[in-house]
Amino acid sequence: MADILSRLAEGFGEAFTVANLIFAFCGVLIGTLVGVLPGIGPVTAIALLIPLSFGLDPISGLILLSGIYYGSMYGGSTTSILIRTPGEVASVVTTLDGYEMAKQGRAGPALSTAAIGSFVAGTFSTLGLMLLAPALASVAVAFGSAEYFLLMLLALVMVSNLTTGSQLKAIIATLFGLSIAMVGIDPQTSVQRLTFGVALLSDGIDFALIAIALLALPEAFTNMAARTTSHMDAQRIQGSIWMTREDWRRSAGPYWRGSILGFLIGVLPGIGPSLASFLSYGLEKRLSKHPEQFGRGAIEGVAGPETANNAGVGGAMVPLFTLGIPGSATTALLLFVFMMYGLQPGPQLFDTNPELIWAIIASMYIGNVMLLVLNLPLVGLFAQLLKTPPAMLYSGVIAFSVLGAYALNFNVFDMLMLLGFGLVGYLMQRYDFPMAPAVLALVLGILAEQHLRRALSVSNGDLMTFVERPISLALVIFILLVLALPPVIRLLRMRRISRQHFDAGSGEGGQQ
Amino acid sequence: MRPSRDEEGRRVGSDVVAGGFMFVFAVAYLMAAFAIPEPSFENAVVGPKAVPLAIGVALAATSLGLAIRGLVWGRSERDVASGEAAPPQDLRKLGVVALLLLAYILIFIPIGYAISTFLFMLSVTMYLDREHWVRNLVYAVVFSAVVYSIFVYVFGVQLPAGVLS
Repeated sequence: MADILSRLAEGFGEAFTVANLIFAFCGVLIGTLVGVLPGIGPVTAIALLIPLSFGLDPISGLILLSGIYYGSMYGGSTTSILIRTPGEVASVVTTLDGYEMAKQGRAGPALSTAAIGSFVAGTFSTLGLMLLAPALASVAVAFGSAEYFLLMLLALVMVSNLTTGSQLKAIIATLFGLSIAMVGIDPQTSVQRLTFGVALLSDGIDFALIAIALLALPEAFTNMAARTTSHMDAQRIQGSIWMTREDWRRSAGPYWRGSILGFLIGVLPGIGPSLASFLSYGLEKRLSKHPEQFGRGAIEGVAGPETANNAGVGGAMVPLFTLGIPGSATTALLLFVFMMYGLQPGPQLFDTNPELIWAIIASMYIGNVMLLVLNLPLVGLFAQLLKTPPAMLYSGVIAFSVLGAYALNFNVFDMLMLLGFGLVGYLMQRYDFPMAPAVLALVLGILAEQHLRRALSVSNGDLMTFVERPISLALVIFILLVLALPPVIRLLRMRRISRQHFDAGSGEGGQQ
Repeated sequence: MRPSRDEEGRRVGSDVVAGGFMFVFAVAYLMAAFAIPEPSFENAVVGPKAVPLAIGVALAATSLGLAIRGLVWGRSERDVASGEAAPPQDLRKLGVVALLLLAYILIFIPIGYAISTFLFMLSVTMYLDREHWVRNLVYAVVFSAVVYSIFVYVFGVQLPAGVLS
């Protein structure tokens, strides 16, 4: 504990330099802005800023990019509440009660409870990250290739199974990402794979390029090719933005429950903040003495989900820092940035670069305070951003995407690939394929394959290597559980629906 | 918000189309994966071919499954988290924007960042929103100038100067 505190003090020393304070501020500001703007999320913003961070030193660059990540979670709630359009997927449930509150003239308290809940969760989850990460890192030193492969497999299985949409489509998206990841020279045998003799493909397809193409361009295309320009019906912020004593009392429970739930879900690979916010909403509704108020402007329905999605950010940093395994598209990009700086996240990072890790953690405490100060008084100003004409906004996104693709390798080939994959992404989005699993698979694909082959060559092809040790055995069981879960849930739901049908049918029968 | 009627119409059979496309991709991918040469020296238990082949087979199976399920169900599953349906699309607009983007990419290096970006921004915003031409012009000038200056002078990332050099 004393060790953690002294490390943290050093981290604060690093984060409190003028330059790093400015980077943290820029990060949370950009994060809030992209959170507010519908269609541009943290992944897009980080992908577009990767070329910018080439020129920065690793600490500043990572402070900036992490700031965008947690900052965007604050901004996402603003549009949910004021125009019923979530800025982020993680804020979808906030529209249910947030917009109702705004219609009743209580937009102020709704925005306040979202901001304060976000602050509580951000601080709590950073604390959790600080305590859990070093402990996990010391365990992870003992992990071999078998464990790493299983962990990555778990992340992929989770992201494609625990989706909010079609499970089959999420699996196809994951496999599509994996298939693209295989392109390039095989690191173990130096054999050219799927390069078709194109020299520029032998290093593989740049992950950041595909991330920009699949995440930023489809959103821009969809909005620019819209037949009618949607017009936004924004609710005004009237009266006091402060919460009443009653609001505080009702928000307190969701704050702490959302923090814990969000953090734990964030630690698990493959399930992002969006699922955390959905679960928190369900939890609050179940615990509430007045569940009938949910959907009609219950403040708990704003406080819980907004807390949970922010807590998820700190949780998601745990496997990234300690194992080098990203659990979501956003952390996959952060992993890419680490590697771009020549750093390999994992248990060794706590020994080789402790000052970096602790500076990022310290900056997250500072950034959350900045966000609270920034968001409470300026929320009206941020809401004005929604009036940006779509033609200007999305042409800017496209221009930044092209710039980002150019700055990766300085050639036309990459920019043409950006356009090609952008159109592929557009089609995938039109046909309701989720993008996040594809992006995560892209970064995990080659890592997982290498660990699989290394583990099998050490064991001479004996598959028992995956179940011999307690940790790997536990992981295998967990993966099987995750695979079995959705079909079981579907079966139960079908049974319940058919029973309801039966009841309804017999009811009608009785009347006749 | 309920999807409009033609949106419903498009949805019917869309899984068949999507699954079919993915299946074709998977078959092509499998053929390419078969063509991966074996390493000159055999030391690994799992060679460079195995994982791409496995991915190709799984992709072919799942996309075929999607197409068949689409045929049986007749309509596609919607993502509950994405909330409202995407706005109805005008494919001509998409085509024009994509062509302008292609032109932008091709002139990016020869003509230089500042001028090509200005031309791209102006043409796209004018195409989508003709009425506000003054605003579009000012935006195109300011955007290309500001981004160029920030990248070159603040972050030291070299951008092509093109004809301005």
